[in-house]
Amino acid sequence: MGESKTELLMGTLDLLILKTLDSLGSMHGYGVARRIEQVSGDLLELNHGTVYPALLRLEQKGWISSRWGTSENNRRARFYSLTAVGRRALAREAKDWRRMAAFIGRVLEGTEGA
Amino acid sequence: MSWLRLWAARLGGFIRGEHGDERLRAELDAHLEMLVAENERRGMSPTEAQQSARRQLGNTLRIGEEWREQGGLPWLESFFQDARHGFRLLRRNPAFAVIAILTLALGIGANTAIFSMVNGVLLRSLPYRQPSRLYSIHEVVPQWTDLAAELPVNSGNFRLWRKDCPAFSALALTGQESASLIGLGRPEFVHGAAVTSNFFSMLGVDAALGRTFSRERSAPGAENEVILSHRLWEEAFHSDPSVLGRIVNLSGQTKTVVGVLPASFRFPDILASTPEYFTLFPQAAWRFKPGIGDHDYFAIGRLRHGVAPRQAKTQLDVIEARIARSSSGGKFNLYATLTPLKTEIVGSTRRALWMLAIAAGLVLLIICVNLANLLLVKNTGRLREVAVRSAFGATPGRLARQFLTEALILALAGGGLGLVFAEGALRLLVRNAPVGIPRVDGIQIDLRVVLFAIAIAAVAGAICGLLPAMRLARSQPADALRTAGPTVSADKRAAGLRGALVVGEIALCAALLPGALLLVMSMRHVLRANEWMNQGHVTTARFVLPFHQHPNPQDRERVFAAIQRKVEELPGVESAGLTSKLPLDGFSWGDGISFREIPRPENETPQGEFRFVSPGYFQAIGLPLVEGRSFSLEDTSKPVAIISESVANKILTGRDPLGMHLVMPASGCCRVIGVVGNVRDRSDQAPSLVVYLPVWEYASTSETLVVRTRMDSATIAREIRQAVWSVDPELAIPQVRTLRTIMQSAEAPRRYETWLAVMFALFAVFFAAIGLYGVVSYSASQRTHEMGIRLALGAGRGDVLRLVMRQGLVLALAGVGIGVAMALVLTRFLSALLFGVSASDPVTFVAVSLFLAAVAVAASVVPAWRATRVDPTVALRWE
Repeated sequence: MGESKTELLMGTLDLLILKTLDSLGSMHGYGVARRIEQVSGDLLELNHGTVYPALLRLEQKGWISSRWGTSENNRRARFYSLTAVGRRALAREAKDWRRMAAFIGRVLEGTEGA
Repeated sequence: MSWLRLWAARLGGFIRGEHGDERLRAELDAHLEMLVAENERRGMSPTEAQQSARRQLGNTLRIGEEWREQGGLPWLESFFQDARHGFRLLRRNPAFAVIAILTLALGIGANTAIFSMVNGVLLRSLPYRQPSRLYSIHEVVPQWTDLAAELPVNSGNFRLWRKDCPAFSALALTGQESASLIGLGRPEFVHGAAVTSNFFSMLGVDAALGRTFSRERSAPGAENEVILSHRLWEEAFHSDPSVLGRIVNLSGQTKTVVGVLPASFRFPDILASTPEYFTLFPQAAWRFKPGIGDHDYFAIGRLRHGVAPRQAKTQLDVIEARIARSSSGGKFNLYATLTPLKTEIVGSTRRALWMLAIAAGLVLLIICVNLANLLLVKNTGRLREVAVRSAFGATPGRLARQFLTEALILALAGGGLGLVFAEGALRLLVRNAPVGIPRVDGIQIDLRVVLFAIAIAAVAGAICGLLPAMRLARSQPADALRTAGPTVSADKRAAGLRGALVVGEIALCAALLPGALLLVMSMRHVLRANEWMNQGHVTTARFVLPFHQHPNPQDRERVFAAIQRKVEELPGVESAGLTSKLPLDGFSWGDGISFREIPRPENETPQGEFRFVSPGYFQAIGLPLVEGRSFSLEDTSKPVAIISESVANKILTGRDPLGMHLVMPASGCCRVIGVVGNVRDRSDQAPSLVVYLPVWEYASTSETLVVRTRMDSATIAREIRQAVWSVDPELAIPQVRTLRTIMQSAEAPRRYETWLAVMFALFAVFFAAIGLYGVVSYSASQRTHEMGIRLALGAGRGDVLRLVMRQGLVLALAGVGIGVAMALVLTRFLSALLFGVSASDPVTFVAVSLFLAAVAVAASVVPAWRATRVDPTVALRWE
């Protein structure tokens, strides 16, 4: 494993999943995990399995819904998609995240300047 | 409400078990296949592709755990697991379970019963509309506070409040009445109340039958209307539904029944006796001029919304100051006080009930500590179980939860049984509750009480389980696995913890006992102070002359004197006398006591009580004559007075009282001819300052006859009634009571509270002694080996005995030290309930300490003796 891979920050997986489902529409867990890996440019250390408890958590919150379906290569898989509530939640969380990131960025710049 | 949805989903998952492994396994399987396919597509060999895919997927066991935790209610599942395990353990050790559950049930039951009383008397709201806005109003004259801190209300002042105090949306006035109910068999004495027309509408109470008073005072005939209580309607009118419109004869005045109150109505307990009928205030009562004096009535006000009591008081005090200026020219001050109606009704019971609740809580705490100790000892035997389980990956938190759950099972079982105990105890408590405790009829086990029982059971479980759980969870599994059995080195820290728990128990005991003992001493002082009332056989009978038939005092005095003469002639009667007020009972007339020989300004005159008595009264009631002589029939033409010892001591301070002249506002001066013993208004108050005047000076409509008989006579009540009726057949006698009954019922609340406090204290001592015994004997048994060595090396049995006893005594003394310090703080809150003894009475504290030391000796002597019986050869072979 390369040193450049980063561990996933606590609590960010939910946001990543929401955003992924937002852009992919209906997708199974494998697709979500692959997509996150791809988007990160393989910089992210992701155990694919951890996606599933997160998906369940989001489903319980009512942000995503799920149903059984057939994958592109004819396997039974569970497909997840964003609900209206989930879409609103994503917008909110994304905004919070940006604000947080901007803040942390500012703080870090400050320390480097000193 | 997203958390609600979340928990609903989780609960659903838990119940359906749908988020179980099946779905996850299917998803993970599909995932793995897709990963493998992808890897193969990238050109890996099948085995490589498999291995790499597994790596990418991660630890599926952990994911499964996380999934289950997210999916259901894992803590609930593990709770049931723990509960099942706990039940199995308890079944294996039923003796322990029974003892634990029984003692907990005892503690929780006692607490629940006392809380039911606290709930029923103190917490439950009054049965009126928006009761928290109702306030009782009193007047205060600072110059008279030695007579009474708060006075009832002058009706003239009340009229001004109504006019000028907008803070209240309604102000109502009430006053005690009584009458003979004539024409329904034998004349019957009934208590009543005069009320203002807005009284019932202010409380928000409607009639069950007919109506309450109309707000329009000028309604024709309104002054002749009467409203009946449900009880009077049932008892005197046999629940006759056609009672409305009936004409009733009350002491010769005719009134029309316009309404019957609902059975649930409770008159606020602000009058001396519960009224059974209600009339409007007669116009005469409203004619009083505003001023200081004539404080005869009780006022209740309903505060307007958004108005604080302080604002209302400020408004009232402006009016009061005006009244004081114009009526006394500034010589006296006048204030108003507002008390929440509930506080007013509950009165002094509040303090006693909280005291009992604290005592019950301490007892439960001691019981919990005992159980914690027991669990601690019991669980030492389970170190290996803990070790095995933690070796298999149980986290300390998970283990702690297991032990807590076990304790909770015990506590909840104890709580359930405790509720049953409480129900029984409450029935006893309510049945034996003295009249002096208000609102007893509403005490019951309601939802709030049940919730309380569950809550304290949970707390008790937590207290019992927490310490052992924390200790076990922190123990070192490796050590436990290495040794063969329960370790001999007996873990110093565990022993220290057990010792600390016992010290705590004894400290709680020592904190509780002085309070109980002080209450017992107070009770003895009260009994002694009123002992003179307990001599011989004295019967009292109060009767009331209808005012409109006997409007002038001379005429009333003649009737009373005739009755007294009749009763004196009865066989077996030693002496008889009349009084306007009995000790410990009723209301009296208060006024300034001043002597011509000691002139003082009006506003510095000490206030006292004036009672009117006939010749023979002091002898009949048994009040000793200290100096001079009693009234005689020759005194009718001379103004004379008799004073109580307290007046002689406090006001005349050392001067010879005989021949002094008492200044009377109307009739000039009365010469003091005698001094009699002290009496009290309440059994635990300082003696009242009392001036006795002859009954012929002023006979009110209500007098009490006191009759001393040679022996206890069951028939004397009937004979007295007959004698009274031979003088006037329409007179009703309310109560014929013995003086002893009056004394006992005045002392009953104190006796009741003291008895309960002593019971709790004894419980506490009992359980603490058991706890001490348990710890000393356990540690002695742990040291059997050591004792064997000591004995083998030539230690005497006395040495061993001392060794073990010393441990018990050291623990006890530490506990006593801490507890006494706590008690010194606690008993200060008790001082309002004490009589004749100080809250930090040294004798009490020394006695309690010695007693607890003796208990400690008794609790450690058996294990100590057992330790001396150790056979060295057996002890050495042990292990």
